[in-house]
Amino acid sequence: MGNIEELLRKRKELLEEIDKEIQKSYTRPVALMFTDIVASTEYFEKKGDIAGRQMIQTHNDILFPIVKDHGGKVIKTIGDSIMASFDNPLQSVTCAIKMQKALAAYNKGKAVDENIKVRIGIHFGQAVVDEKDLFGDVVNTSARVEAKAHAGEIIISSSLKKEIASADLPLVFLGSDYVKGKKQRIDFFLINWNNREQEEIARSWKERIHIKVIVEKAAAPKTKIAIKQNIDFKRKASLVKPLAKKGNPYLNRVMLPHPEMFYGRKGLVKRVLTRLTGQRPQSISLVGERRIGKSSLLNFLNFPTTRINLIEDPEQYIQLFIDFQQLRTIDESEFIAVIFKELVKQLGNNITIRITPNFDGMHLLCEKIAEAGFKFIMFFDEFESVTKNEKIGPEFYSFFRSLANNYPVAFVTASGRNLKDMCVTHEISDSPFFNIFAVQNVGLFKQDEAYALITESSAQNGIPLEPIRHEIVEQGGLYPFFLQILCSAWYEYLESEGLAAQDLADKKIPKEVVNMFREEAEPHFEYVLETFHKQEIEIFKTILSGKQPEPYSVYTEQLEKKGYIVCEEPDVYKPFSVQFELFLKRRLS
Amino acid sequence: MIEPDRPIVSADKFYGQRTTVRRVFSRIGADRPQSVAIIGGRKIGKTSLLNYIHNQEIQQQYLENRNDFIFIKINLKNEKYQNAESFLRSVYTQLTQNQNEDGNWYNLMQKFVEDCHNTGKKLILLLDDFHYITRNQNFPLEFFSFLRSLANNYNLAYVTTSYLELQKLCVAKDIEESPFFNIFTNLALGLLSCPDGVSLYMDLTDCSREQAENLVNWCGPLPYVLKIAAQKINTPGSFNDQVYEKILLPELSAYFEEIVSILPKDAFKPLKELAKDKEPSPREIHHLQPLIRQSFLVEDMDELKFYSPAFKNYILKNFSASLLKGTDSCF
Repeated sequence: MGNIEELLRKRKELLEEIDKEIQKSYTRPVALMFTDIVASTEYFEKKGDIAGRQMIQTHNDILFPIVKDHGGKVIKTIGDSIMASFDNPLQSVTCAIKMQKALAAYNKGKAVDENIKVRIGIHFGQAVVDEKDLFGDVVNTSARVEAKAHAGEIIISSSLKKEIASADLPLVFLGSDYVKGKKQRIDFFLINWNNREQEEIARSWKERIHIKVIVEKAAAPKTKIAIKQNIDFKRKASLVKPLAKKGNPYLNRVMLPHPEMFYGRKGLVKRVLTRLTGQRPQSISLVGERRIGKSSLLNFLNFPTTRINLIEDPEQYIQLFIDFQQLRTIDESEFIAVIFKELVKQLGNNITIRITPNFDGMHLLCEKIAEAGFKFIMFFDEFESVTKNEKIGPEFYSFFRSLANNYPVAFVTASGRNLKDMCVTHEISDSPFFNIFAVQNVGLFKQDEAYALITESSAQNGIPLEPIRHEIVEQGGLYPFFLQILCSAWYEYLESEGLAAQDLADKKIPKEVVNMFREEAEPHFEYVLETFHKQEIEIFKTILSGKQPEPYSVYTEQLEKKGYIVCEEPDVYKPFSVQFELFLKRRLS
Repeated sequence: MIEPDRPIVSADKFYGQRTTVRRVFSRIGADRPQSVAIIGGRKIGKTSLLNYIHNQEIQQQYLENRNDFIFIKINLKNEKYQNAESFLRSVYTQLTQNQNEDGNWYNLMQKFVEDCHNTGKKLILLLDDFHYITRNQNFPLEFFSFLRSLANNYNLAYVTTSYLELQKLCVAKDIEESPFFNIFTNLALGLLSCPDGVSLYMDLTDCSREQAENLVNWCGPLPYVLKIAAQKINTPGSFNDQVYEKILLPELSAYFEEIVSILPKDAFKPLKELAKDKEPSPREIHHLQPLIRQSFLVEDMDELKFYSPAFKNYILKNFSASLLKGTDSCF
């Protein structure tokens, strides 16, 4: 017998040796499957214990042989759950598919309350295996994976996915999430054995994630903000289907819903993104006339594919989009609540907010976003609805300015005129808040942008307008909205007449096209005319009489900036399009 | 039995308007459904057109994936909603068939539309006589902003009918200036083509083609007018314009009165002059735009003409300035 030190050393060696032996003889990698009968409690309650037990027996009779046939071993059953292990990872998945198919066959033709539906989760990892049971982290994780599944689903973890990577299986990436007891997120994959629609799967996955948004009413709430990851936009981008290339491509009159529908503005997009992606993002105010395309531009900038394609490090940015047209009467706390709500919508299960949506909460939110290394960009459409809102006071603007000054936070607003000119009080218009913005004018298309709109989508959809692009620009001008209406009328005319633009001997605009254009465009021309200042009307009258207006007058510059007159030669102005000029002649002559 | 005042319900009784129908469906069937405002004078056939669009067999003919669409039709003249909430509640209940739900109708409606959108469904609301909403002061600006927001963000479109452009039929300036109206493509519902008018008249009467053509030439291819004519003259015979005028013009005057009643006062002089074959100035012609849009006046070789001798004679003989009293607010 040696001294104590020696004994302890020997003990340690012995333990290590035993561990090695256990490791060698009893530890091995397994694919561990958990199944669970969905709504079994209700079944027992409704049909009684005997019928319930019978149902479990039927379930066992159907599933146990399938496990065995696939080289698996039922370790145990816990109530209505099965825990089964497989040495071959691929076999665990094929077994799960067979199990779901067998139950689907059993359920066919039966009343809904007689159906047996299970959820299945499988994880792969090291387990300590004895003759009758199995232990280790793999057991807990497998159970958590199973809990993520819905009735009829098979969900697997990323570690199992790695093992079966070469197999031809209908795998769908669902997303990442934390599970109880794990510090790292787990990627989840669905085995889409019953060919469900991708969109439906994505939606269903999103719905089952419980987002914790607890709006505290107490004065000093417990604060908790956790931003785990910012990758939801990638999933959203992957769901965007390519645009259907059929029919008249110029019919859209709402905010462009698809990035492929967005033409031009490359310079402006670049300028905006340069400001947003600097070390400290800079706020931008986009100002432009009604129907010039501000909302579509804002939506395009916020679109997930734009981030992926045009921003170097898209994960760095947390973005949200709010249209204030519908929120004209909200108060300050509602404003902040809208931001919180939209943030949760954008980040899905990647954010946990447990905070009061007030000024302090907003500060804290921006602080946490900054701490986590993100930049926070808020796109605000129709922002004049806010500046004109009497319920939003000057302190609110000071507060938002301080956010932009202290954190990597920027606002991109869209409005019909300069924000300062659209404030409900002078106190607000004098606020230094407006100084943080770089103003960018959203004006007419450049000629090449107009040509791209005219030629590309028409060619893709089968009736090219390229041969008449000059005529279209001349008649419709470079105002995107009116150009779109004219293209739509031309496209519809050629389609209904069975003509091709290149076959038109005379490229003169047909009466049918003019009528269609006028029918749609003139109410907008009327609106524009009503909103002109009387000095602006005089400028048009001057131009229509063959003379030229004062080039440096405020009103001339304003009209040019708004896009209603163009200056093709120095100091020679004309209405932006032939059709607008004809309208003005009819109205002002 | 001929009932000129009743809209056509059965699709096989609906005549012509193929171009308009095609244009409406091309917009509904666009990648993202687009909203359409059908504008037409009284009794021009707006409700009949909406009934036709609402017909499932017709939808099947024009839409590639009819099953992706959910259509509902609401006659706002009959329903007379008290406020925005009652309207949204009715739409929601029709869509969901759920009578028991209660809550914030804006939120419920938005949730439903979002769910439809996410499941690939496209929602089309056919809203007949929509001016009953735009003219109702209990429908605030937020309501129209809400409708716009739904159309901007989801697969949802509105097909409305009204007798003038909706902006001209708003109860308040802020609603009139609302960008809600920007989402619409206006389609003016005009006359039938002459062959369609002849076919309609022949179907309603025992008259010969020649007789039908003569009548259509005199009174124009307007379904309502042709139905009135068919009530009065429905057997073969030899008629001329004088006979038509004597028998039909008194019957048609009330309708023509309604047609011109939407015009501003400034339209009186140019319309009278036009009936006397004098050409009004371009500025004066502008006042006649509502009639031009609805094809009661047609531009032929840069010349403005009446769509029919019947209407011209009415203007010449029966039309008085007092009929335009009080219509300035429309413009």
